[in-house]
Amino acid sequence: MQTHSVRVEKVKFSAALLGIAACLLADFMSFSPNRLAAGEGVSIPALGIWWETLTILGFCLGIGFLSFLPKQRIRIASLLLVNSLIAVLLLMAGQYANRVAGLENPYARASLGLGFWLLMFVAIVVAIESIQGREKNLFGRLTLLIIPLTIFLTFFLSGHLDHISLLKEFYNRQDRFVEETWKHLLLAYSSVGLSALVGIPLGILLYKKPVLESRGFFILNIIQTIPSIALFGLLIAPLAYLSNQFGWLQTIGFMGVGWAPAVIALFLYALLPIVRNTYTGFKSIDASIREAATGMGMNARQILMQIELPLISPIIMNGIRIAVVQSVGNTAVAALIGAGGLGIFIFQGLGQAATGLILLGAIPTIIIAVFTDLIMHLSIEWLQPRRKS
Amino acid sequence: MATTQEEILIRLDAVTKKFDNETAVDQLTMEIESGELCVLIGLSGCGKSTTLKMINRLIEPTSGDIFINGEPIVGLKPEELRRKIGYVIQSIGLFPHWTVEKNIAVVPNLLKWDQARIKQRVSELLELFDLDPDLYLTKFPDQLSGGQAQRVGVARALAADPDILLMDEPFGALDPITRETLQLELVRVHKELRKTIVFVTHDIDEGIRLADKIAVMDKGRIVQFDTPEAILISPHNRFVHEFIGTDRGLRRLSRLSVGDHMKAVKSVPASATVGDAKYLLEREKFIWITDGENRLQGWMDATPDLPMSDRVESYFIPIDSTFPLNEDNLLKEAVSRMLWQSVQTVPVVDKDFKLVGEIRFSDILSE
Repeated sequence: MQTHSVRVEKVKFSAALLGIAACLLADFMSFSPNRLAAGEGVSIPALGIWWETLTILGFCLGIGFLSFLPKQRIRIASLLLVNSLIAVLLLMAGQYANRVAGLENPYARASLGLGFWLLMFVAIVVAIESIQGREKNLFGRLTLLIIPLTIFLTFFLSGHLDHISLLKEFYNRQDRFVEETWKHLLLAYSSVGLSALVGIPLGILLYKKPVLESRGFFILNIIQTIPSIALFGLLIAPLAYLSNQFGWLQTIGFMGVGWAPAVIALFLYALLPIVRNTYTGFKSIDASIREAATGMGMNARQILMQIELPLISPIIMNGIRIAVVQSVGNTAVAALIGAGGLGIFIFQGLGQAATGLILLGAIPTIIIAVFTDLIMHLSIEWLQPRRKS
Repeated sequence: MATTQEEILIRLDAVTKKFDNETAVDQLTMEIESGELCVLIGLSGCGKSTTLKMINRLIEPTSGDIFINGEPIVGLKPEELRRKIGYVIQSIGLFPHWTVEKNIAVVPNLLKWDQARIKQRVSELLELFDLDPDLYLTKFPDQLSGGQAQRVGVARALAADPDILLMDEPFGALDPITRETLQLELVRVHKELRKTIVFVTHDIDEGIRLADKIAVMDKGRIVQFDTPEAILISPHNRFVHEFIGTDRGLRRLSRLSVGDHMKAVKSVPASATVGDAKYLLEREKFIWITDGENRLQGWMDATPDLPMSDRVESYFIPIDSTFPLNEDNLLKEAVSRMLWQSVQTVPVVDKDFKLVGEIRFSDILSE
């Protein structure tokens, strides 16, 4: 017989402690009589429903209990537990909002508080932790994202969450939200697309012409260090000048503000990771592979298209992945120069000190970044030469 | 490929290559005959690899001309020339993102052969190197051992059936046992296909084992260009002498096979009588004993006082199955076995353990 030594899973154990503290001490929601008034915090015990407090504490104790069990056996149990926790949190938040900021109190606001976010954080950390070691498993990673999103969508579509301030902000701006989300995607992806079109050849050039290498990377590194707000701002004057000089530029919307400086700045930011990875990829190709390819009678174009690019495509794609995730984030800043995108809500919310509005911009931005990252990871895996293990 | 013997396939005419001010190859002139396995050998930096790479224009000569089949190679585009010449390098250089099948099919694909023909050719080549196509076609290079990878490397070089094969220290990175196996396989494949092979190495044993002709190079020039026997027997100068080393006598033995030097032999079946055996022995000291089908069983010496009518099977000394040699063993191995077992004669058997001859120390000495 095997002897069982009790090994405590540190992550789960700490998460459980954090959850208990958040449940008892932090404000779960906050209430304000109107959109602009300062909020008043409400912790879970203060919600006044004793079984809710007990349920949340129960979940945290459950996580604490799981931290004493071997990780491999409790994957499913952990995932079930944390997804139920997410569901209960949404249920409670919706109920509170319906109670204090429902139809009869249209101006009142019920916002999600620190306690809610901390408990969500606990749930996500435990979920990630429980699929650890299974990162390669596509199913595992998808469940990590898809089950919580399904839970959220179910509550969302049922209307249960409608009176939370975040959702109120959403309903007030539904059409705008869809429009700005598309704009955000378009700005972030198209600028990286352009960057790939320029960056891959540029990476090859820097590899083939060592004289250019250090200078090229020097310039790209400098661009990367300019804060995004500054770069957006710096582009306004020269672009405004250009569009005043050439009338046809204005007709396509190319001006000092708007999409033009945004696309250019995002394009410039995306260059470094793409160029660097292309360059590194080319450098990593074993000299013997090139010698063999040349010796077999391949010409330079055939070596590039059949050997070099396919061999390093995962490395280049990884550069594009870094660039596009970064670009999704930077696009939020581009709202400052009138380019649109989800950043609009963030800056409006900042201006009005409306947390719900900030989150309406921030949360979809994060979700887009995470999904993009996942999809890029999957395509990189798909690009790797498939081998029998 | 219609070639008569002694037709000159590759000719280098006063070829010189300078890198900056360093002369790597210096006014080198040589002719390589069709079907010959020619070894370029020398110390590091003697210009042997540079010479090889000028034949497929991976390096362009500073001056001088190279001809293949009488045609100057500068008349062809480098890519077209290279597709007609197989090329094998020490680091193998298989394309890691392609299967064995696609790796071997590189040149046929470049030459736009039809796919059915390519498929057949690839399987044929794998079989030539004792690699089961069903098992290896779909493998990736990182799933192969060093020896398997280089077999695939050589198969790839042979894929489009080139007349010429250039090999740049192809077995240099392999362990000694794999290296020897591949050397023997190369000799077999060369006998079978009669390709013209230019083979660069710094290993004198490898050169002697493989070569029809050896070109010993020093400082960008050929010091001696001759058969391995001639080089071993009469090294042209002090450099060659030192290069082949003091044990050139032993080295020579690694070129000579047991089969070419064994003698016919007498044997008696174990069922014969001692009298018959003694009659056959004449003045010899011992005789080989076989079974009814000439399979070697043991030996019996000429002990005088055995009853003449008894059968041999009661008296002979059985033989260890690892002791006899095969025809394709080298004389070096024969001598090694004689020294190890303290005997002067070793029997030679075929693959069914049938006695085909014997080899004697005195015969080797007179070689």
